[in-house]
Amino acid sequence: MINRRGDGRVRTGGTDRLAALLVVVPLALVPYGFKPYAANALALFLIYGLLAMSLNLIWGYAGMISFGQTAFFGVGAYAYGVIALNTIGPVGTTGLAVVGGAAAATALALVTAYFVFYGRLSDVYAAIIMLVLSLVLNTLMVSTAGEEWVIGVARLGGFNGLFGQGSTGQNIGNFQIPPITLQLPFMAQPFAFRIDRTSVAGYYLVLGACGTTYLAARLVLASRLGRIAVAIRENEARAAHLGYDIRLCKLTIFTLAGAIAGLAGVLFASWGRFVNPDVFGLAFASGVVVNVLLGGRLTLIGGFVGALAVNYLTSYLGGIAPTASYAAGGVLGLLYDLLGRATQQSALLVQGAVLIGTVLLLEEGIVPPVARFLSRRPLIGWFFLLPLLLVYFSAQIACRQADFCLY
Amino acid sequence: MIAGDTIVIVGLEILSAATILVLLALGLAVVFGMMRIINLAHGEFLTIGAFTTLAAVRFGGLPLWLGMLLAACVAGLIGIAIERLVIRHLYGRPLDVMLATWGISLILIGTITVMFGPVTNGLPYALGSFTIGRYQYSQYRIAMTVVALLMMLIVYVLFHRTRFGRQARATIGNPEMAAALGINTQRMFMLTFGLGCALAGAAGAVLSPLVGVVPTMGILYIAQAFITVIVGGPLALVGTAAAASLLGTIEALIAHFPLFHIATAGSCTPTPCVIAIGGSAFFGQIALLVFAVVLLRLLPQGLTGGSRNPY
Repeated sequence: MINRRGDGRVRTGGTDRLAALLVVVPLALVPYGFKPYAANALALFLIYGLLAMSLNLIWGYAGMISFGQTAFFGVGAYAYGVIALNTIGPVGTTGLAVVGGAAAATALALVTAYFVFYGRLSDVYAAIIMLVLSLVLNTLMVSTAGEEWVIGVARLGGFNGLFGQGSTGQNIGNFQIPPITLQLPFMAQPFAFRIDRTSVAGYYLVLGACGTTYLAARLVLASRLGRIAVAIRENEARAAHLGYDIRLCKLTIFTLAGAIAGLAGVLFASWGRFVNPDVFGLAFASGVVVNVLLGGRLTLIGGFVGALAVNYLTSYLGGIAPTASYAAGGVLGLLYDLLGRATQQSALLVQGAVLIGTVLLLEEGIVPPVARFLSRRPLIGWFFLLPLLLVYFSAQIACRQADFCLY
Repeated sequence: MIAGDTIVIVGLEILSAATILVLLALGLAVVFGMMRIINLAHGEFLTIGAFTTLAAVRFGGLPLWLGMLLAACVAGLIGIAIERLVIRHLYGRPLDVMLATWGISLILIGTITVMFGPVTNGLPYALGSFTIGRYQYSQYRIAMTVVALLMMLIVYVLFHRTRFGRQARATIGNPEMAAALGINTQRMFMLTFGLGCALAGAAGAVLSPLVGVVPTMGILYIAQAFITVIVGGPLALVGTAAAASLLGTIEALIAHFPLFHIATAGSCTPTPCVIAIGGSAFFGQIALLVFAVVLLRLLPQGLTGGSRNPY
């Protein structure tokens, strides 16, 4: 039922371009019709989507499962933070930190993949091993609160998260992780990609990184390597008998996915200017799997769709805590109270419900059925796109001219 | 030179580490070792056991041992309910079972947090402690070993000396044949899963006075439980005991003795800044994981991989 054509790729052609328009145009317009807060939140969800895409790549296309992509994400974030804190003073840019963060995650993924695939661990054990790796890193980073855990000017900081201490450049005392700062060719000063009241450059950086990575992943999947990966997913024994080096192929794809997760981690550390051991924690790790499952594991954009859906649902439920809880009293008050506390736990409850629900009811996730529907009826797609564009443009005008901003 | 009392205390720590591993893994040995259900919610059944004990002792005023019995019953009943509602639809789909039980785990953590709050609760020690040379050691840890041995005996007798056990093993070994012979296999799966969860609940209850009772406590133990059962291999009960002894020894030794030190550039009082590798519970667990990974590279089938008839 899944993947009728057997090549595992998303349909190309008109539908795909339409889908790209449907996704990219609104996303590019967001900072105009909305307050910077919306761009800030959406950038985070896109980063989660990029992390989910790294799982999409190995799960949907090569048939490998990893429950611990957060290990590579977190290592990328921490490595970016440590290098950026140390280089922002003397160098003024964080280009080295971006590369270093992604490289650290890639290296960890390579080593992990070697032990898992060359150790002939079955895929189910491998998935758990990755999760354990992430949780071990969580425990390790939590235990780094003491003053002896310091790299250059970067204090690991235990549960409170990474920060800089000392004096470097213009920073004195305790300071945060710098945002991605690059020397652009047409500017005199290094340019910091931040998201705040005055600038949404950081949002476009994230959007651009997601788009570029998506295209790169599509290229990889269209290459010989990607086709072998799909062959392994479909029938590992047959692919092996045809003479392909299964383990090397798995190792390569997995390492690439690790690099993508690491890049997402770099963007995350730059986005919040903060990283703490939570990035290795269980809630983060399960979030990745939930996003991919809900969006659809067999398409690359599934992770993005899932990340947006789950995170909006979670933040919506987290925001509707009943106000009348204590005043009501009696059974009703108790009920309100429980509901209020349940909305505080909405992240876990939503994730759990989505996991069970998709496994039992919606095995393919959201994207494949929608894509099939749109490919049969492209007109309806345009029918939705045009009003959407209209809404965005009027929102933009309203926000600019009348100071009436949505969100 | 290592003093005599140190040798005794390290021996006791090894016994204690092995006991904890047996307790953590026994329920999983039934659910995962025998039934091959990858139950990622196993840790939450430990949590349910611990919180049931806490509620029984603190709010119900029951004695500790009665609270522990109650914990086993509650965890077993919740396990049966979950098997009926979710897991029975997913037999033969290991990946989906894993995902669904992960979802169950998250919902259980969320629900327990809603009910008890995200704080760490403590239970009072039931027994005192005794002295060996320069060290003090709690009697409760010794009692815990006895309880663990008793639980293993119960599992052995249940599965090998009763009608239920024979039918359960037949069902797990070959469900179609068992059904053809008139065994109610659905009921057997349900009861066996419930038994595994009850064992986990009891283990959580027994561990609760030693550790902080917090809704996320299950996450800490799930890795060790799985690794113990995987290292144990196809003979669930014997393998789990053997793996727990071996891994417990490694864990306790590394947790007690520092291996080496790394100096860093921070500003500490007293100087200099030193990170000790080994000599703490965290490094004990790391050593356990690393040792298990290496062991599985050498013995992919686990310690009891050579046995012919796992049922």
